[in-house]
Amino acid sequence: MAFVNIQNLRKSYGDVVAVNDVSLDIEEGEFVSILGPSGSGKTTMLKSIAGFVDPTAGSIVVAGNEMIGLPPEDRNMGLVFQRLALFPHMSVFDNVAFGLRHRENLTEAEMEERVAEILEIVSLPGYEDRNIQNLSGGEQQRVALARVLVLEPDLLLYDEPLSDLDRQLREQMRREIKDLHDRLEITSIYVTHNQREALTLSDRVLVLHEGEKVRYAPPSEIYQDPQSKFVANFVGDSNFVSVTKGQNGTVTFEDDDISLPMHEADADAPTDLLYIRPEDITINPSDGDRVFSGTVRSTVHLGSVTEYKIEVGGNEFLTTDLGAPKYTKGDSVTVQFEDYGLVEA
Amino acid sequence: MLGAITDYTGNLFDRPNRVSDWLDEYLPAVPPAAYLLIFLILPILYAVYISFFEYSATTIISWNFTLEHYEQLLFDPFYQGLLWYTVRLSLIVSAFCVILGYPLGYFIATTTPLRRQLALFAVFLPLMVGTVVRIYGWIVLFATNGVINTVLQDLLGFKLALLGNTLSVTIGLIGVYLPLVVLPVYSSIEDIPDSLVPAARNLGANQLQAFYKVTFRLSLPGLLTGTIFVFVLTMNSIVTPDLLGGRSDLTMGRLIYDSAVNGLNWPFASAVGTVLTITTTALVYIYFSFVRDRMGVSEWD
Ligand SMILES: Nc1ncnc2c1ncn2[C@@H]1O[C@H](COP(=O)(O)OP(=O)(O)OP(=O)(O)O)[C@@H](O)[C@H]1O
Ligand SMILES: [Mg+2]
Repeated sequence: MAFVNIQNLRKSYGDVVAVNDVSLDIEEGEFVSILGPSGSGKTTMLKSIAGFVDPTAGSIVVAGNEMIGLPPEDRNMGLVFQRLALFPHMSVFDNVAFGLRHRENLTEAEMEERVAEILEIVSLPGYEDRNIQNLSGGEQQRVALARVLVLEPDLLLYDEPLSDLDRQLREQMRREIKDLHDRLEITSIYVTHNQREALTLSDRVLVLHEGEKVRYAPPSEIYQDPQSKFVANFVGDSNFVSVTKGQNGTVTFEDDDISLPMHEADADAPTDLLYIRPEDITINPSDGDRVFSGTVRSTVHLGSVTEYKIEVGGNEFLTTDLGAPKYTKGDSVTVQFEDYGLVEA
Repeated sequence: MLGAITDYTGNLFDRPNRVSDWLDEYLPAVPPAAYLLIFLILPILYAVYISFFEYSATTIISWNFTLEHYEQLLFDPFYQGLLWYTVRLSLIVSAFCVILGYPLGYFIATTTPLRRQLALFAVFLPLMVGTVVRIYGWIVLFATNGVINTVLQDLLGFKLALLGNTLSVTIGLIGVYLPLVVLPVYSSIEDIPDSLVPAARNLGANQLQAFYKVTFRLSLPGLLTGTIFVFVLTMNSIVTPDLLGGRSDLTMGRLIYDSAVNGLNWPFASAVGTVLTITTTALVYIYFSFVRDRMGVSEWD
């Protein structure tokens, strides 16, 4: 059995089904993200695992032990909260030692050693006597990590720990979480609605939609083969076109005479929705097939890339190009559809 | 904290104009300081001052220095008993306000919004009605010939002494002052972020430990404020003991009132007031230090 084995987990609040029969296996040392829009049941799942929500049905086995029925304090899991939940009336030392005092029987000297060690790991050496309120956001974040890491939990749970930080700090902390995981290899579940965090941190991503498991796969697989419109749209951006399948292995855009050769893998797909990633559309290619003419409708400069909306036939396509804007509204261009696929509507 | 603010304005720019700096810094403090001086400090100093002079039936104060009022208050067993009665009453009332008020404040802070509103309304409502009006209401209910005793007499053939004793004074004071514990406790628990208790549980604390180390600990300032209010007000209470108590339920407050208003013995009343104020301050200080030691010093610096 996998290190974490969740079977048919279900939680309903009256008529609202927050988590609907989700099953999940996580191997030891794996980093798994739960990704989904607001209200998709991410927090409910995490709270069920941590013991703060009583699931309506299902089982959660961690390291061979059934967790359902155990109070939170008897599950050896570390939970990092969105708002950190540091104890404001305690020093950094007392925050970090809080769990040690309850979970382990250590002498004061052993405790000091463990705390110093973990503060070193999260790059806060010598911060023991600091007051929580006087720490910067990033430092508080590290204390929150140290507080759970010091207990060497079976499972680390994160509930959108970075969503309150500004962009720069968020990027930095994301890298630090990744580094920590690479070093300590603690099995982790990371809840987020930020696809970038999910894709960059995880070994596998669970995509939730209205309480249901939509996809559970490694990030690259999800990105390259989203399978459903929801995933294609939620994980990365996508353009969608309704198509009709031709006899000769082509798809033809509805309302247009544009035809593209179909991928073999899509031949049996019971669907007529085509997705094209913005980065798979090239403007004014030097040569090649699948090139069509279009008109630039809008240009947005986003810094390192520029985003264009280009009308091709009756459809508008979003595409990105590296660097500053090269075309302006109204320009006639050609576009090449380099890659695309079919997804379920 | 005030110190930090004044330091900040004082050192922000190193301007040469010292007088205007000084004015900027202290001028805003003049009205409140004047208010305190005129309405609090001067009257107290004056009261303390006249407590060292003899009483005269004709001129009220005869300006001969004496310590007789203090001797009487501190060594006469009657007055010793009266001080002890007042302190004991205040301790009991404060203790019951904590025992009843803390759970109530906790309940209000943690229950559903609808129940919270109802409960807060129920706690606030008595504060809207003056104490005297409320106590007269109780008297109508509990007097020897009051509603309850009439019903008891008719149904069971006996009456209870529900008024005019120490128990009725105690219960009355608890009823009057309970909101003063409930409200600050409620608001300090309300201010605790929801995730702190789950965080403590996640770190291995059971429900009781998490409550004690997080919720209770962070609500201590509210509890402290509330109990100090109740204690000080009970120490100084006059109306409730007077209306609900018997002849022996004499508090220091009633003694001051009787001596000053009925006896016109201002020097003695002043001495009682001085003893009462010093006792109250000392006890509050002891309590404050005790709680502060349990909380760690940082919060009060
Ligand atoms: N205690 C509760 N009582 C009733 N409904 C609840 C409760 N907790 C969650 N829900 C409902 O369950 C659904 C899932 O909520 P959940 O908090 O798990 O979503 P989430 O994916 O974490 O969303 P977000 O990204 O906004 O945090 C929502 O529809 C929510 O309204
Ligand atoms: Mg959530």
